[in-house]
Amino acid sequence: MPHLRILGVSKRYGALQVLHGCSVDVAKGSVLTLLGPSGCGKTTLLRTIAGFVRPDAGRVEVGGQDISHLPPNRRRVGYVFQNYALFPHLTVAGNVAYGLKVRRTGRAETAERVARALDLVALGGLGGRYPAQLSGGQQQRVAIARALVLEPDVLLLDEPFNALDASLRITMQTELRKLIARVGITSIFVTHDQAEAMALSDTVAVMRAGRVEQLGAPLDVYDRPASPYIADFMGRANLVPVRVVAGHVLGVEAVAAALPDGEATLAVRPENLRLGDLAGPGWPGEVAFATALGGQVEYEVGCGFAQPVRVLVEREAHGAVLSPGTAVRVLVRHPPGCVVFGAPADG
Amino acid sequence: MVLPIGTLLLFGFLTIERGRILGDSLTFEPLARALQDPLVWRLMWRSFWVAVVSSVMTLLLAYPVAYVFAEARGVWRTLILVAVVSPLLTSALVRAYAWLVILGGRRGIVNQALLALGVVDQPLRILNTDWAVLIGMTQIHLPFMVLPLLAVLAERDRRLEQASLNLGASRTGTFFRVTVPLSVPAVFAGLALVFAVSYTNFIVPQLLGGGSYSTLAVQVYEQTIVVLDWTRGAVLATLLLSTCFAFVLAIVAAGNRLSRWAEAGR
Repeated sequence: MPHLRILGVSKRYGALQVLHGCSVDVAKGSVLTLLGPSGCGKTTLLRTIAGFVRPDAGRVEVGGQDISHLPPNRRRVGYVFQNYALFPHLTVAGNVAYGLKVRRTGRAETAERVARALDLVALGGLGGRYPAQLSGGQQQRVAIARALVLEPDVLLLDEPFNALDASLRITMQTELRKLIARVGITSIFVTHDQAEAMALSDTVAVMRAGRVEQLGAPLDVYDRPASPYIADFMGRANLVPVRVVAGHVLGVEAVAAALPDGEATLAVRPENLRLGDLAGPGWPGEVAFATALGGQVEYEVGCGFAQPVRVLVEREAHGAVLSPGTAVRVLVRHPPGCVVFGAPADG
Repeated sequence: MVLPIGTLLLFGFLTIERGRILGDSLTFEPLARALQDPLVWRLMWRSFWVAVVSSVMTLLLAYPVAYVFAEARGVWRTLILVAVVSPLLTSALVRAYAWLVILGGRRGIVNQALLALGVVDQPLRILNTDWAVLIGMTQIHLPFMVLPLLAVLAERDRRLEQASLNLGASRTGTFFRVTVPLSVPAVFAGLALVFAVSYTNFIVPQLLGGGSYSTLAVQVYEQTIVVLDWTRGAVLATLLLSTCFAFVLAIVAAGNRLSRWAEAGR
């Protein structure tokens, strides 16, 4: 029995259909990420769970109970806003105590629970500060403590790392993952960053234009994307036009038994390609651009397709980088690692 | 700024004969006389409480208007803004006369309506009372309160209110716990402004308070324009100005105290 169920949620703003019958289940204590580009409806879906958006159709259930008809203040759903939305006129402790005061919790119990929540996010000594006196990472932790102190059923986080700089983001991701595991709360993140989705979640729901296009464990989605779009959104992929004959992809030893003969798209990750002998098999091409990443080199190779093929190559100790213009052949390392889609690649 | 205040002090504290200032004539005697006059204190007290009450009334009327403006969209916003600002385009004198007509005697609009509705048997005596002065001042000074509130309420971060709802507060609770505290700086800016213009207003008390109604500001006007005792006029004006300044500073200080959080980020 899933803890949180989103069932066929649709929402329209004027002429714009933002959500088309979205359905997602989340198990108790697990972490789901709604992943997609901006404007795909992921934040609207999150706001529907919190009750800020009233769906035109569908419902939201927590623990088997339909909460769709409840106003936001009657739902036991914690929400961490994108820029944290801390109350500037209240101190850190005042922010965390807010929900308890609204519920008329006793003074002693409030003080104790606030102290415990602040300890949980390692902000023990900062209760007297105002939000404007804190760093971005500290503000995020206050927002999380403010939500968790009420012991909600579900924790919702809208792009919580967006306001942080890159180096802090990684640290905070790990910290947050540990914190959620410790508290054991069912959580839903919204993000447009697939690396963040990989790092944080048990389940990823990839969204596109108001629909949940694929739902699964991050590595499953990465290994077996449901569409060329997801292949390139979840990690990066080269989408190469190929021809299928008798269940095989011509030129690559990949099997596409389920597909009819004809045009198809091969999705292959840059790390699943290598550069081979000029005389051998593979796609002939010419290095167009090389990016040295330190331990690895990424080449863009022009093979006559609409897009250059990206190839990620391990750099041998102090090995030289091929200069643009060098003639090469691009080979698939591990053909079963490719995914073949039964439609021609765009362009 | 310096010139009018300089002139004021000149007339109040120096003696002028045939257009020449007598150098050794600096005197605080007129000031001392004014301060010993119980009438001056009575007038100052009335100026003060009338300004305080009308400032509070202005706030209570202006807040809903500004809030409705902030919630309104498109054409409604424009309509409310025009309604708020348009009184500023007519002179305060004209508006005071308008209240004279509305409140005045048996044939005033208010009394005619109340009599017709059977709410009262006898026409109410509103004109020439404190009420008439308060009503007139409140309406005339309303824009000074609405405008600062309007700016702050329209620009406020609505996610804070959503956060409050999410934490379990009702809409009313959210209004008093989040919206109102965050508007405190604007409230006190408006209060300071309205207090200052009410405290020094002499037209409204004269017209709506009746001939025998007087405040410190009215006294300044009468001493200077009617009695032509410029020394006393200047001394009273100095008193009016300095006390007004002190009260406004006190209001600003109170506002700052209540919004210490606003300083936190700087």
